[in-house]
Amino acid sequence: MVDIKKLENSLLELENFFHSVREHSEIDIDVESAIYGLLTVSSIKTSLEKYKKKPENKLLKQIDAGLVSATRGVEYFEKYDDNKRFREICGNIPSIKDHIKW
Amino acid sequence: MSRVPRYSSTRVNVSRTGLPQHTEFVVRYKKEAANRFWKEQQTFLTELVIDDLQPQTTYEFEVKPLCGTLNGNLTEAVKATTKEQPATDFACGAEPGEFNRDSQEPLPELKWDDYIEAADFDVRVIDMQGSNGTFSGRGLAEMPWLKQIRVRVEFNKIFVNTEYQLIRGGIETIFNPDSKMMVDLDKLKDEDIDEESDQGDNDEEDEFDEEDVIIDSEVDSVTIDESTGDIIVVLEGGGTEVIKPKKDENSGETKDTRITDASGDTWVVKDGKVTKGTGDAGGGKPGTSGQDNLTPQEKLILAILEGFNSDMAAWLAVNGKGPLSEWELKLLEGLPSCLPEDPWTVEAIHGGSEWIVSNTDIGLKPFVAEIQKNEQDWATVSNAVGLDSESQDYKLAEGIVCKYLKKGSYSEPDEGKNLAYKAKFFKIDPFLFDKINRKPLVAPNGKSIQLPEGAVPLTFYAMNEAVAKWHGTLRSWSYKDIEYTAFRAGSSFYFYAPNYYKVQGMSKEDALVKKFTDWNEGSKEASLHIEGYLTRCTYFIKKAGKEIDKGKITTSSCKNNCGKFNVVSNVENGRVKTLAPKLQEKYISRQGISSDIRPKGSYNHVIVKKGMSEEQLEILEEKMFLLYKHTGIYMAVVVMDLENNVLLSNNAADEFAAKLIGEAGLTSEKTVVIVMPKSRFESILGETDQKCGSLGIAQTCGTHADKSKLKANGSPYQNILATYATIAKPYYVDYHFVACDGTRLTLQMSSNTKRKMLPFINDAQLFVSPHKEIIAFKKIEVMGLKKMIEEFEGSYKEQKKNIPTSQDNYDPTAEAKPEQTKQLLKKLKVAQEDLSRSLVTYLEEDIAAFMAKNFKYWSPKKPEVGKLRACYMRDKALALVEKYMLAEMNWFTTWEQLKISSSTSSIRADQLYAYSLMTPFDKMIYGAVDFVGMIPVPPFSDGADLVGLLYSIGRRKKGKIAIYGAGVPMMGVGAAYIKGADDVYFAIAKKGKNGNIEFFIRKTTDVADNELHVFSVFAKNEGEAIKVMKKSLDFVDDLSVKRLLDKINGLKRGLKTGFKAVGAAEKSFDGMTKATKALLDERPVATANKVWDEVYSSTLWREHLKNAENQVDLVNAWRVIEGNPILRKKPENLESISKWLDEGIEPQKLTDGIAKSRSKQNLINDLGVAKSKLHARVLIKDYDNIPGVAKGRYISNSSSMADKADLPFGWPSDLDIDKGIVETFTGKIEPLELKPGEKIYRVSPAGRQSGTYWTRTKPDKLDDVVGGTAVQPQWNNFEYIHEYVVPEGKTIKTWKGKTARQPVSQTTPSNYHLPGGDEQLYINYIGKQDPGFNSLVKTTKAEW
Repeated sequence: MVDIKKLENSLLELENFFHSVREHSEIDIDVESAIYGLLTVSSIKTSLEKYKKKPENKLLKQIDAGLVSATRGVEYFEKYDDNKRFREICGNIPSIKDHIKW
Repeated sequence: MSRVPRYSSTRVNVSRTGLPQHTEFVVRYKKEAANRFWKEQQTFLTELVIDDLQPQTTYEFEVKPLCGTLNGNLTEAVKATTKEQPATDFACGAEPGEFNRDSQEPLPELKWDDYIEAADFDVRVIDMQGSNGTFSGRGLAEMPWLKQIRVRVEFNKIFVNTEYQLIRGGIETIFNPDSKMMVDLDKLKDEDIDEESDQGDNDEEDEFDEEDVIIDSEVDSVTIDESTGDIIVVLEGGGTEVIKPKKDENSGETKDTRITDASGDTWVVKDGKVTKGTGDAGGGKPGTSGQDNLTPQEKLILAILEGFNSDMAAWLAVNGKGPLSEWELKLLEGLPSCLPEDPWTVEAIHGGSEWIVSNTDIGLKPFVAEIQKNEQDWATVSNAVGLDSESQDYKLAEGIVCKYLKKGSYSEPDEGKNLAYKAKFFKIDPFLFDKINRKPLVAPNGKSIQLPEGAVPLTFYAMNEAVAKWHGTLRSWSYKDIEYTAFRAGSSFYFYAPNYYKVQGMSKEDALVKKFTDWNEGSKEASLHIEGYLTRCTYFIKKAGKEIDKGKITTSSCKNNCGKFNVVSNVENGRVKTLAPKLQEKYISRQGISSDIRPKGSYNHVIVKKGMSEEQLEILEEKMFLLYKHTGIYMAVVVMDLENNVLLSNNAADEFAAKLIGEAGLTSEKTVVIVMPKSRFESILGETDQKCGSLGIAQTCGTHADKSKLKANGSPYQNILATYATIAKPYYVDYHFVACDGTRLTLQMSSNTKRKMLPFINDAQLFVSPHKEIIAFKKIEVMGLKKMIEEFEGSYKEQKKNIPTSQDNYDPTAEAKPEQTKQLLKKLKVAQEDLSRSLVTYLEEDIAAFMAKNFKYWSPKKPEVGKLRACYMRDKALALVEKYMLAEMNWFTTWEQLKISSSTSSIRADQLYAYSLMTPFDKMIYGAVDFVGMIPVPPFSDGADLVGLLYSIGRRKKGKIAIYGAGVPMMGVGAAYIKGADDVYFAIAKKGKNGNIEFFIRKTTDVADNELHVFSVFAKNEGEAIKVMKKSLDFVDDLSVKRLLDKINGLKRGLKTGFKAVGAAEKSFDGMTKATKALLDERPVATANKVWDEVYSSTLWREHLKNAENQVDLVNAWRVIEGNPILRKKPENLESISKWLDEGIEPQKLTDGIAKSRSKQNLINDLGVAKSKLHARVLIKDYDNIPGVAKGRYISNSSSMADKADLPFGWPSDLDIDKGIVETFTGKIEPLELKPGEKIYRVSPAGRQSGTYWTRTKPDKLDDVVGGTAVQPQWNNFEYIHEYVVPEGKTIKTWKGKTARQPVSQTTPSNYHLPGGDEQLYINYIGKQDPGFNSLVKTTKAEW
């Protein structure tokens, strides 16, 4: 069973982090990455809300694809501290691949 | 005599003792209180059970015997009251009470409609066998606990006594698993369980039984395109979306589609039908709703309509028959009192009323809403709620309902907008015919008509107002190989036979039209029938034809008769004769060169007989349409073709106008038809494929004077002028809308009749249609093709001349030229048709958006004051508007002003000029100034300077020559300004001492010769004028003003020459008169046309063609947008689309992608920020053109943490990888330490060289990156390749493994995926591992 609460918390953490980078980073490409990250988080949240109302496999797939984009897609941040924090947060995101029926 | 025994609470048994010769009888019955609502049943027996009655209600029954086809008289009404509803103690599952079953005497015979008592149930027998008490058969059992609904039952060898009681045996219900009333509780339960257990086991490709489509706007209606099966969603505020229904991959069947709009309203498209719900995803019962949802008023109206329907049906059934029986006469009397005894009207209204009753959701509620708009009517309806139908208020309510029914306050939604369009413009009523050659031709009133020779006998049943019935009724026939169609236009009837002449062996392409009119009651025949022909050439006519009968009435060829657009005209000895002269009497006025006002009839008719340029006509058309939109005055323009020298007579034009009005359903007081000639007509409706026709149903214009002003002015022409003057609403011209505040001028016009100034606009806001560019480009395309064809042909002719006789010098390409020309001609035809379609479509869209007040539809310009009065504006677009306004106004003013100048005008002079300020000489010179100055071509407008010069001399004010001369071309109002009234001020410009331009306000009479009139201000006083001027100056082009001032100085220098020229004129007024007369003939117009020809055939088109060549992508982008109308709302969409076309996206792929997208605008938004061409292809789902993408659904093959080796001893912990990174690998993941000299590569956007994912193999094609290392196009633009060589003394710690699969995109699920499989390295903190990384990494632009 997907731990929705944990997933939500991770997303919140990720979102806050992206917000923070977007607002405070002086490195343009990091800001761009954060903006992209925020878009993906927003998309994941939309899918998650739907999933909470009606759990469906396809929604899990969407969430998983979103998480990959938020991590693999964003990939890294130039600024060391931001990158370190990003990796920490990513490491705490629960994997949902095992819950998906492929 | 009948007897009506009481039988039960819901039924009675009617029996009749008839005569032996009676073969059957009809029972009709109604509630005693009702004055209508008769129902009837027919039987061959002497008894009839009527079983749909209400308890404890008195009914009236009448019986009519029939003898074969002969009808007997109705009996006197007999009243009977049904029993009270018995109190039921029925309890489900409870044992029935005690019954008296003493009688064991077998029932000898059981008949149809007999009732058997079976415990608590009454069973009506509908089929039986047996006798003497034992019977088998079927019946209907009433269920007392289910509101007496009837359930089918069957019985087998039951015993029934003479009391009709079931004594032995059983009666069983018939189980029908397919019944709509059946609910399988077990199945329902299973489904619930399935739903619970199915969580997490679904998939986007296979789980939908129903497609959900979310529309982020409010939806007006949803229809289905029958030809394609596409779902057409019409949005409120204009625009449509096309949804392709999804098909089941396995069965190929079309899935149901549920559409939800921004308001939460839903439409379900299922089995080719559309059902509207109200936020309920499941929708409701198609087209109807239960009466439980209706308000008391709605129920009342519904009941009234039901009553009307019965009455109308009865009336229609016997109308036209004769002789009528007493009973039939009574049926005739039942027609709702407000309806005319006109079968067309009644049938049309009956159809509408029935539709309302059967479609309460979409029919009744809008109908009720119409009534609700009138408070008094609504109050009347409300008062009648709950009252007896005989009460006074109830009858008043009936009258109200009838009134709205008659008004046609309903619309059948079957064909949505198309129907509305059709009804509006081409409402030609169809006729039914029956029994060819068996019945005489019957007029609408049921009387016989003497058949003209060759005519086909018919019986007409017209259906006025019911265009929708076109498609469901018989209206065409063939007779001796001639195809006929009957239709009605206005008060006349037409037979239309498109192949008449061909069948007769004649070569004419025209259709035969026979017209019957002026029904003569006395002679029982049509007093006049006219034979003519119908030639349809223009796009509009074709469209009309298609609208009329899906091509039935269309003739596409015009060949020899091109230009003769005579519709229903009488040809005798090759000459067009006048038709229906009496029709002229209906016109309130016919205002033209020689026609006086004729205030009769119901609408206005204007005939103008001088040519207009096509540009003027275009403007006029648009203007007329907006005029209608603002005022309700329909302005229809009929354009006559001058080129072919076929000019309709006034009467023929009248007839045409009458037909036009009749067909368009515009027979109201607010209709003006203008018939006017056109000197050239190719672009009146765009580039038509043939030079013929020239019919325009014009639609145009801005705010207009109302009807009273029309009469007061005595001239529609004046109204058109006033259009400019009173603009307070948007004004549409050349794909611009101009919103203006004309309050000030309106006031002036109404307060001072002696100062009818030409239009004046103080505040203006300009909007540009999103279609402007594409139309321009399409026109250019057509023009370009034409030019190319000309060049090819010219070249070919030239080469033909020069083809040498000797084989040695033979050039084979010379022979190839005609083929090229043919190809170009084909292209030209396609382009012309495309342009014509676009012109119509875009105009409709523009107007729809305008009507919805959707100003966002257009690209707005900032509000600017006084701009439209400025003669030199910086904004090119506005200059264009000015040009058109100028051109258009010129036309309307020219002739009347000329007439004024020669004292032949019927318009009062003071309507245009302040003559009190004039000398006698002014009168003539003003006309000349106006006329010359208003010809919008350089030779004449320049000539205005000279005329101004003459004027100044004539007034002995030579010092002001420059002002008079230069002032003329301004806004085309010429002398009217100079003749200005007290409240007009000039904003003038003059050069200061330092050379700078200074602006001042001057009274018109105070302008000095070194000051230039830049624009006018209509103000109460100088202070107000200065305020307006200051606001306006921001938009005045100083440079242009400066140039004009220089021109004035030049004019001064030319005075000497001017004086000489004028001197001759001064000597003789005769000379001046001659000059004026010369101007009155058509030569200036011809000259103007010639000049325009030159302009358009040379400079302009070359310039535009050059632009088009440079902007191929923009044109293609327009073509993409064209297929998706919703996208036209945002002008920036064009930019977004053209960008990707420029990048190499195929237009068709883009079009398809957009077409398939559920939210087209969102897709365009996404495209606007797409990272790369590949990303754009992902968005439009053009997966086949994305390198590296593999077919098949994405199935994760990610590694798990168990696949990852431990962090090697001595590696810092921050070089380890987490689960998220592990999942980007597949299979084993091992640590790898890169040694000095080893090279690694990475592909990324600019500045992203320090990233984490690398390869040891240099990617040499995009497939490697996108496919091999599974990089989604939304993550990367693949623009740069980075190469890093591990330097001496350094090692780089990495994780090595195969790349896992990835979906192609996060948001667009598909049956494609990125396969991965190539080796990838993950490197944390490469910049920290080698502080010199940034200086060592080499970045090159990828050349994929």
